Amino acid sequence: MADAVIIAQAAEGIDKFSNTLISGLALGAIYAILALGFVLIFKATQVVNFAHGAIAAFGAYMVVYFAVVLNFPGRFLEFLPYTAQWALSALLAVAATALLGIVIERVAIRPMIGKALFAVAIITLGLDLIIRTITNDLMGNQSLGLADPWGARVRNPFGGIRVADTQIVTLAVTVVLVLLLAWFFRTRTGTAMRATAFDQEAALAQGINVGRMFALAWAIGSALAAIGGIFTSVFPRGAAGVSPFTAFIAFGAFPAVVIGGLDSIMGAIVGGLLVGLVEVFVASYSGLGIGFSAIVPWLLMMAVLLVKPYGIFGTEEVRRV
Amino acid sequence: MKRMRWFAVVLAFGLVAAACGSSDDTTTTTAAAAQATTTTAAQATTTTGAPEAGIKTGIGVDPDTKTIKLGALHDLTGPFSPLVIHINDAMKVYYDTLNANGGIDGWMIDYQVLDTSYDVPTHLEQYEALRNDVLALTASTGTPTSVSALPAMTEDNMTFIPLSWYSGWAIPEFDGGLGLEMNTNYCIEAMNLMEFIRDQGGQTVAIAGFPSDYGLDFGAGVKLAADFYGMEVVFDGAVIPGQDQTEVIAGIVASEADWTLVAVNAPVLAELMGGAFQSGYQGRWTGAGPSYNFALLDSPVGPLIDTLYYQSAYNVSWGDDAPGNVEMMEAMAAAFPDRLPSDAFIIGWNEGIIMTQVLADAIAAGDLTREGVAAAVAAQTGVDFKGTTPDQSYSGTPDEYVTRAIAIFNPDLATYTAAGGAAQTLSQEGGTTGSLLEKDFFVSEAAQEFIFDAPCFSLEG
Amino acid sequence: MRGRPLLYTSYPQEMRLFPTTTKRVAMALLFVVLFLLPLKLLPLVGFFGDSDWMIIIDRALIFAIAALGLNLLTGVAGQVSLGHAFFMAVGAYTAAVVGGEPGNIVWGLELPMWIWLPAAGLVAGLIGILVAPTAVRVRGLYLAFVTLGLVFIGQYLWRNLGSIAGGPTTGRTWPPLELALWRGQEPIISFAKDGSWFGVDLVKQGKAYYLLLFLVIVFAVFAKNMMRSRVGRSWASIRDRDIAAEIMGVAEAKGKTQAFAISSFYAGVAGALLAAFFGRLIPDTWDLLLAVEFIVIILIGGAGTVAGTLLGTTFVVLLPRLVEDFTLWLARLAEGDSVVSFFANLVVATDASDFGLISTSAAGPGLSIFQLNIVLFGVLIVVFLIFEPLGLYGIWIRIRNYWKAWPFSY
Repeated sequence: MADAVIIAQAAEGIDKFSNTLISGLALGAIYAILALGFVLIFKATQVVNFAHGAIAAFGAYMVVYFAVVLNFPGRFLEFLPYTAQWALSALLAVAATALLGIVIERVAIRPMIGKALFAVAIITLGLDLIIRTITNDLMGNQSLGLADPWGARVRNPFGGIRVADTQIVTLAVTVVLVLLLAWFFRTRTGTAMRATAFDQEAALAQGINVGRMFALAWAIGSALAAIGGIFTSVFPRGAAGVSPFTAFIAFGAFPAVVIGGLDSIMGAIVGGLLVGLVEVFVASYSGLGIGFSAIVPWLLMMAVLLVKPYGIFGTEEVRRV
Repeated sequence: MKRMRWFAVVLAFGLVAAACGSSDDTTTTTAAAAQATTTTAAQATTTTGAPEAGIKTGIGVDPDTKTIKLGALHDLTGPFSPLVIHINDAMKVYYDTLNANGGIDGWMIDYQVLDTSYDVPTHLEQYEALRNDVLALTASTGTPTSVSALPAMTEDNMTFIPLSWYSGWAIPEFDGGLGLEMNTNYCIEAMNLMEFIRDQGGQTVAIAGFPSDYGLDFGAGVKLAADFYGMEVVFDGAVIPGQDQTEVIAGIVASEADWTLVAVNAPVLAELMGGAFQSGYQGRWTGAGPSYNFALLDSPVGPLIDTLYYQSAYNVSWGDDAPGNVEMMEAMAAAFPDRLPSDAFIIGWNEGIIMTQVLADAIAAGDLTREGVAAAVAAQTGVDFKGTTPDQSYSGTPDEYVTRAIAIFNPDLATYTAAGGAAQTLSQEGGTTGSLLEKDFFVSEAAQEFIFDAPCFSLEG
Repeated sequence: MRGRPLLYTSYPQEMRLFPTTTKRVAMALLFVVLFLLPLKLLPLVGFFGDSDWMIIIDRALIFAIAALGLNLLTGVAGQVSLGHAFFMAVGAYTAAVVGGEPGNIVWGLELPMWIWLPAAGLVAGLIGILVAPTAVRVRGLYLAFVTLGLVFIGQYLWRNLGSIAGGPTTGRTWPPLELALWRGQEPIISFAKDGSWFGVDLVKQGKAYYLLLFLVIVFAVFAKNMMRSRVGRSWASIRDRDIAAEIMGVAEAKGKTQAFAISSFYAGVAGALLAAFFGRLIPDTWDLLLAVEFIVIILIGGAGTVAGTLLGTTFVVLLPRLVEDFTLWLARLAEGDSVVSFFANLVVATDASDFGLISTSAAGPGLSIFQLNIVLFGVLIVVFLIFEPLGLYGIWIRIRNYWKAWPFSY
């Protein structure tokens, strides 16, 4: 027990601060990934996607399906290290989720082009119920481990600071995703998507296939949701794996999206990290009753909106008679 | 074009007629069912001796077909569905097996389950759907839900088995003697665990529980036992599932407790253990029965569970060779050969055994009315679970009949993996959930000395 | 000019509650049917008078009041609110504190219903006025997120304010639906106990039904009157184009505040009734799903209309029970040997090896009946919004117009 005493003492001062910082950044990174997908869909198609959490849970389950249930493609590639096998399964899962996004867009969102934004938002609430219930049924209504290669490994690089491998991976993947998105928006397709987001009719006039852009936005958005869902379902936060509760993680990302501004990619990253840090720091240091840390993001969101009604980076709506 | 439109009108008429027709059908069936209920009810009040075998019958019993209707209010889509779905399936298999073997003295059980989603209004609505239809409730999921329905159940004299181990269910002043508690309760369970911890050399403990009857009843037991054994509670934190647990984890780590006792569910347990481990906590863990699920052995915290967690249980685990357990495993394997094992099956199975015993006594006493069932409960001195859990009695004072024993298991990853892990099926020989017996059913000194005459934690705000 | 439908010679005439004789007759008939419902006297639908149906119909009536309030705010004034459950909770807990029994930790003043019911509405309305300025500053979807936040903040409050809400997962009790003159006195009328009125035996749900039906009518007429008067027109103008409305002299801030106050009043009363009707509720009752249910009700019913809101409520609240009965009935059918049971068997899976979309076993293949219920609810939302944006009210209008012109309807 001597070990525990030393560590616990050490975890009081600066180390408690740095440990909290790491947890906060890791949670913030998850929120940022979820928020990115959300903002991408909103920016390109003007749809507030309340089914984002359900899609994330579906994506995480797909990893279980490919990596554990089918062991595909790992069973044909046994010469590869396990990490590579698992990564391939995870990629397949992300692709499957992107496909789900395309199906959703084609079946439920495309017919609603030009209708009230609010009505489309409520459609996604209906989709949330459908996807969540079916995913729960696939999971057998219980928590399932993702069999990820990192497990519960924790590193202790300097003194009392302890970092889980999964947290390092989460942060690294977030950085890569942000860079990839930044690159994507400079490509020809990315430019077309930005044009679509800016003005659908003008984009049509330029020969851009707006329908395809919509589908693409939903595919990328859903893929990002899946990645967020996967990192929600690994050690330490989701150590038990993906469960019926996973779908609710996206509610933590909503304030992040709004704080950053519904249509700002930059805002999603800043908002996500901010909300993650605030939530974890309040939880570690405040002690204001059961579950106070969970509502701090919402309070923060309201405060931000009163000062900047369209979020920090959001585009102000031009209002005219 | 015009002809097409006529066709549309005719089609519409057809649809309307069809709709009326089908609603007609449902109406008549419902009406018939209602009539049937009223006639049996009328028989019960007018004729004291039923035609057959002189058994008095009432609501939910059909003497002509010798059928007894039992209801269950289960959370099949809500937060507790991961556990309750297994319990429900085992219960259904239990009654199917019972019927196939000739029922209770020739009486067949008609088992009807309705979903409550763990939502109070839904629970009450579903109760209303069953109240004029069934003899007793063989399960009612949850404390707040069952407590909300208590006034109505008291009015109906409806015997029920609460699917919750709240200590109030053993107190007749609280539930009117209608609730048939099963196994021990969270409060006494916590006392037993404290003795186990003391025997293992633990002196300081931390508590992390849901802020519910579940967590608070358990916490009350921990504190009572801490006073009894001169141990110290150094941290007591509330946990809300689905939210950030950093606060509780930080509290556990900072408390440096030798042991942490939890009253949560399996995903939260994994999150707490994972987070505390990451922050360097090295104490050991145990907790109330529903906190643990062997599926955790497949998760990243599997190795932690293996070395640091001790599982408290009310029943033997899957694979145990107790006669009652073998019967259950055979029946479940026949019904669901391809499914995963679960330690929750035995709960549903044993609930069926309690109800069967009570009904058999009521039949023997010649009174299959709700009053007769309630009388059979009060006279019940020992339900035998064939070795899966200690006998249960309902006669005398709560202090005399409350069950106080639990068993403690030590989850073992190697055993579990060797048997096939998550790839196991019910039909497989030698299946196991990896739970190795650490300490057989025992009653701690604190629990034995404790005079049980009131719930440890009062629900009344 | 009399007797010609759709010929209105003045604005007041067009705005009358029941402009035509047909409407008046239909309304009168509807009232007779609604009045007779709990007495089990009606042919075919007599079973609605059974307590298990009555309890659901009563909840539908309570939901109708809340939905009417949300319809005024969202359907008429155009302010999207996902926070209706929060205002219902405010009303419910006001009622609990004013009318409930004090306990070890909970407060209760034990005042009678004629105080706690209006108090519930008024306090919720006041909170609504406090929230309204946000709606002036924050618009559209951003406002939806603010009100969504209210639900989460509310849940935190109810879990932690033990003296108001009781234990976090055990809740507290509410005063029964009984009208007494003052605390401690025998109730003049009780809507919470079985018994007979004027020689007719009624279950308690049947008694509560009459109280709730009366309240729904009062609230519906009030809502209708709001909509067809100056206030309602100002709300509609804010909804359609707020800047244009301001230019025409409609005070935007005032209109939004009024809408929030009145909508929250409705929600507060409904929340208090819901809690008192069920007797004990836990903080988790006032969750996002409840708030979403009301949005779905007004959209499925037809936003901006009173009749649509009432239709939507009936549909959304009664649907799960109907689906449940239907699938249970199918499952029973599948047990037989006839041709019908063969087809029923195709849909229903009774054991692990069986093929079927719906499973009678909770963990079997396919969705369980109860999961199907949730999925169906989701499908309905999607299908309705895609194919019939005007909701049930729109369908009704189309059917009506078809038969109006029959047989020349094309």
